[in-house]
Formats: sequence, C-alpha cells, structure tokens
Amino acid sequence: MKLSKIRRREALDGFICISPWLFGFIVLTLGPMLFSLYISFTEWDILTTPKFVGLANYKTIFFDDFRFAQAMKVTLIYALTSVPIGLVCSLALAVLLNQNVFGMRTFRSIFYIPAILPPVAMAMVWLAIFKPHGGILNAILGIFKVPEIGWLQDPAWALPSFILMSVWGVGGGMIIYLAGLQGVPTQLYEAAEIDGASPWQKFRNITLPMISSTIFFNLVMGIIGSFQVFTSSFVMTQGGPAYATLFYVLYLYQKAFMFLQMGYACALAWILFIVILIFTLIILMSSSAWVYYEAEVKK
Amino acid sequence: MKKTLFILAGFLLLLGGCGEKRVVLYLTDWCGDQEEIAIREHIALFEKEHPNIKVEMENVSWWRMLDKLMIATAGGKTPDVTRVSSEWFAPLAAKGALEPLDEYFKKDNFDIEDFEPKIVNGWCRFNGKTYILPQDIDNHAMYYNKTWFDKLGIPYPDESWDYAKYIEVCKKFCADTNGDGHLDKWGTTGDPLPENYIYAFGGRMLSDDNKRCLMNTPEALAGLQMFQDLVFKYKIAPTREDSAGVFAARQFTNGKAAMYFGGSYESDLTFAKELKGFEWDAAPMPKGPGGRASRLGGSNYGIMSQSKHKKEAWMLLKHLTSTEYQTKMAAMNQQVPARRSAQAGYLKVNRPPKNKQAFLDSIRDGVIPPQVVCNQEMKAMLGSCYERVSIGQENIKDIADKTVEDVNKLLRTE
Repeated sequence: MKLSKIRRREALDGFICISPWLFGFIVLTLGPMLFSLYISFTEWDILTTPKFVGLANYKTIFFDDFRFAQAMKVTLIYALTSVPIGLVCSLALAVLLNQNVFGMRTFRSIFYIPAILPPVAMAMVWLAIFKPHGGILNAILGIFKVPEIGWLQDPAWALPSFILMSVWGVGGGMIIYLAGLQGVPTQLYEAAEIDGASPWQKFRNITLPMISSTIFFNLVMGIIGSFQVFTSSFVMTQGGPAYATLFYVLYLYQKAFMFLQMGYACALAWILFIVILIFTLIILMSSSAWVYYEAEVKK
Repeated sequence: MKKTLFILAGFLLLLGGCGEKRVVLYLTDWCGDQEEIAIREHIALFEKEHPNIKVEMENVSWWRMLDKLMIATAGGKTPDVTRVSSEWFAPLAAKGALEPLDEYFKKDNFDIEDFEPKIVNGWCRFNGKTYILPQDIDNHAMYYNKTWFDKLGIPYPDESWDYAKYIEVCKKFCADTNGDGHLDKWGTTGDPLPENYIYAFGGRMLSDDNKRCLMNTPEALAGLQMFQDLVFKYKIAPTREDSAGVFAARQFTNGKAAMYFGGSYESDLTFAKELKGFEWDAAPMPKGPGGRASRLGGSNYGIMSQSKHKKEAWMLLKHLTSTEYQTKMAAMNQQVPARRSAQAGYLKVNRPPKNKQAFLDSIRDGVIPPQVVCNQEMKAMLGSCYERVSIGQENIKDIADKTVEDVNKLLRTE
C-alpha cells in the first residue's frame, strides 16, 4: 500500500507526538519484559552471569514444585471467591449509599477509607482482629456462642480470613459503582414506575444493564488485583501456616529476593502473566453477551 | 581587581582541599538504638586515630541485609565493611562478595587464636579461607523467673536438670487464672527455635558433609516430638492460638511463662526495658538424651571484595572486632564476646542475670547450624516443617519425611 505524501507526513507527525510515550514504553516496559522473558530461560542469582538452561525452569515449575501448585491453588481460590463476593458487596453498598439521605457523604467517606489506607497498617489492624484469644472477631462471635476460631493460626481458616479481609476493602469498587449509578438516566426509572415496576424489577431491568460496563471494569480489575495479592500475606503470615496463604506473588517474591533465583522467579512471573491474560480474555469475550454500552447500537 | 583576588583565593582553597586525600569508608550494620550509640562512639575513636578516614554508617534491618548486600554487589556499589550474620555467611562468601582475610592476618601477624576457635571454624571459613571476624555470639541459656520459683517454693534450675525434670517443674506453673477455660500461665514459652530440642535429643539438620537432610532420623524426630508435646501432651507451653502476636521473650517478660530459652543480649536489649516486677536469672539449658546442646549463632564483621579501600577497611575491621570494643559491647549490652580476651569483661558486668557463666558454657555445648549456600531457602523449608509440627494436625514422621525429600532436592543443586 502506498501512502500519499500528506498521509505519510501525518503518520510521521503522529509518531513524533506519541514518541515520549513510545520511548517510555519501549525502554521502561517492553525492554524489561523481553529481558525478563530471556532471564526466565536462565539460572541467575544476580551476582554471576545468567546461565542459559532452556526450558528447565518451566519444567521444574510444572512437574517438580509442589509450592508452585500450592501457590496457584491458593491464589485461584482467593480470586474466584473474593472477586464475586467483592463485586456483590460493593454493588450492594453502592446502591445503599446512592440514596438521598441526610449524612450520606459522611457514610460514603467512611466506607471508602479502607481503600486508601496503607495496606501494611491495615494488615496490622487485622492481625489484632484475628487474634485467636482476646481478638475482636472471636470476642464478637463468642457472644453468639460460636466456638473460638484459630483464624490465621489454623491452616483451614487462614485463607478464608484473607477473603473476609478483602471484603473490608470494597470501598474502592463502591466508588466506581456510585459513579455508574449516578449516570443511569432517571427518566428510565420514572417510566418504569409509571408501568408499575417493583424496586427489584427496576434494579434487575434498568440498573444492572445500565451499569454493566462498570461491573465489567470492576470484574477485570478485581481479577487482576486478586491474582497479585502480596502485602497482606507478606506482613501477616509469610505464606503460613503450612503454606495455606502462600499467594502466588509472595512465592515469586521469595524466590526472587529471598532465595535469589531470578530466572525461576521470572518464569513464575510469565506464567502469572499468561494466566491473568487468559482470565481477562475469557471475561472480555463473554462481555458481548452481558455488557451493554449506551453509545453502542445493538445489531 | 578585588574580584580576581577572590577567585584566586578560592582556587587555592580548592587545591588545598584536594591535597589532603580523605578516604570515606562505608559501613553497613543492623544495630538497634542502644548498640548504635556504642558503635558510633567507637567509630568516632577510630576517626580520631585516623584523621584521613571518615566512616559513613548505614543501619539496615537484619531481615533485608543479605538481599541488600547481594544486590549492591551485583550493582558494583557495595559498602567497604559490613556486619555479617552467621545465618547468611555461606551464601555471601560463596558468591565471592567477601574479601578473604588470611593474607591480612599473615601481613599483620594478627592473632586469630583469640577468637573462639569453634566459631571461627563454624562460620567464618568457607572452602578453607577465612572471610569474617566474629564480634558477638548469640547462644542460649534458660532464663527463669526467680520470684515465681520462690513463691511456689521450687528450687532454682541448675546443671543437673534434664528434660524430664524440666517438664515436671514446668507443669507446676501452669494455671488458668481467669477461669476462661484457657491456660494463661505456663511453665515455658512458645519456642521460636525448635532446633534447641532437636539438638538436645541428638538430632541434626544435615549430615556432616551437608549432602543429606537428617530431619527424619529417630533423634531429630524425638526432638520434634518434644517440641510438639510441650503444647499438646504436657500442656506446659502456650498454643499457637495463645501466643499469636506475642513474641516468646515477651511471654517471659510479662510474667506469663516461668522459663525461656534466650540469648544473653536479651538481658539488656529486651528485658531491661520490658521486664518489671520480678527477679530473674539464667541457668544452663536442660540436658537431653543427646547431651546439653543448643543452637549457636552470632554476628561478625567482614570486608566486601569490591571495596576500593581495602587497607583502610582492614584497619576498621580490626577496630570493630578489637578486645576493647567487644568488652565495651559486653559491658553495655551483655553480648557474649567472641574474643576470649574480652570474656572476662562480660563476666564482670554487674547486672542480672547473675549466672553469666551459663552463657559462656553454652558456647562449648552449642551446635553450629549447617552452613550451605542455599541456606535461606533451606531455612524456609525447615521453618515450614516446624510450623506443621506445631499445628499438630499431621503425623510428625510424614512431615519430616516430606521435609527431607524437599531439602535433599535443594541440596543437590548446591
């Protein structure tokens, strides 16, 4: 294909205009990514020169590393439970906080606060909440005669503890839903009311379709975020007890910076990248069935 | 004219500054507040003796220090002198990050014999070369709450104690004082170092050639069993749930546990601040079937191989491991000196515990932990093994077998 002179000139101008971004992308993102891809085929302890080992790292990861399998399992369970729970809770919270009631702004702020707190400080607070003897949570459950739970000390309860903790941080999703809810045209509700629709029908047939794009956004971000959980487990459990909270990125961190196996860690990182990519693609492909954009003309 | 003069004068000053060659040495350490005061004073003395050397100290957390040194070495910007832990000496030496010191000893007629030979052979040498000089020794003795012993009329622990006696006495302290169905007073603490039990029962982590893991030998299994039985069978130590978030040392200092296996440095650096309302002392560790044995550790100083001022670094290294400094650190913080000539000074410290000899003796009884390049990863594997044992849901032999398989696989990559 031959471009006319003006077209070529325009293309060049375009490239010049995006060149600062392009430069940053190539040097700071694409370059390191390709480098890490190369490193994932080597054995490298940072100090000596990388030794090329072919697919050895990947082979070990898939066939001879029970910690990888454990980390993947833990992370998948966490992602597949905390994300739906988080979606439902933050949406419910947003719907409640979308009412016109006195003091609503204050409530919104209160529910949003956990999302802006430093994760380490949050982890310290939750350590106190989850304390088995004399902890706040067990004290409250004790009122209802629930026997004491070991929470982070008990391998069976450690991961559910983290899922429970993630619910506390739904404020971030809530804010985005709120914005989505405010954007739903009121005339739709008025029309539905005239037709005698119940609140549930209004929610199901107006609200949900109108904010489906917001749900889609929160779902994708939630999946990506939950696959990358690190700080809370790093601070609170270091992956224990008995690997019950060995999140994938925590394991990757240990391999890279505690055991100095950069090649292995890079291979782990690329596997995580592929896994997240697959999940995102699945959601993206399913989106045409359930995400509705106002600007889009339905075929 | 005036201006030209000024510029000229400035130039002269600049030239003068260049003439006096001042060497800046960088030192990394992990010391706490109290230690930092001592080391800064000691460095000031060094700078006074050597006016052409300036020492810049950076304080790093113990946990991050190995990573930091490794990454600094990779980046070619290392400190000149650094504190080195016995826990991660091997990986540092194996990667060539440390300067071998044997030539310096020869040139200076340096008396290495004054340092505890067990320590020097234990973790200062790698492949026949000496890389670091030991500063203080982190060894264990048994702290006990004297007031509590008096109150119950129990004779103080002494060197005749074995584990049977220890368990028997521990039981007497256990009580549920607030009647909530959970014990809140115990004979001993939740132990952060199960190695002590494994060693005392004659077990070892690795074979002598560091090729095989020995965690599933009958001796090691007995030690692991003891570690678990403290909580589940004898009920003389807090459970994981009881001790969640409370350090073992604090269980002792707040009067919840009557005995605690701890290091000498804790007397001043932890107890002096936190412990109130009772008298206390130290006694030797109880004897196990494998004799009296506990885990040894310690801090050391070494020169980084990338240092550009090795001559000056060596002078600083000698200064930081001198008898004077070790005596001073012992006097200030009760750290057991690695130099034998400084140990008399430690015994003279006039603060509790009275029985300081218990700590010196535990150098003789102590066991040197294995020194392998994959130390960090192996420690994580062993740590997970201890954790599983302390949870008490799986068969100990199964846990140990799995750990051995895991560690052996790792050792093959050495």
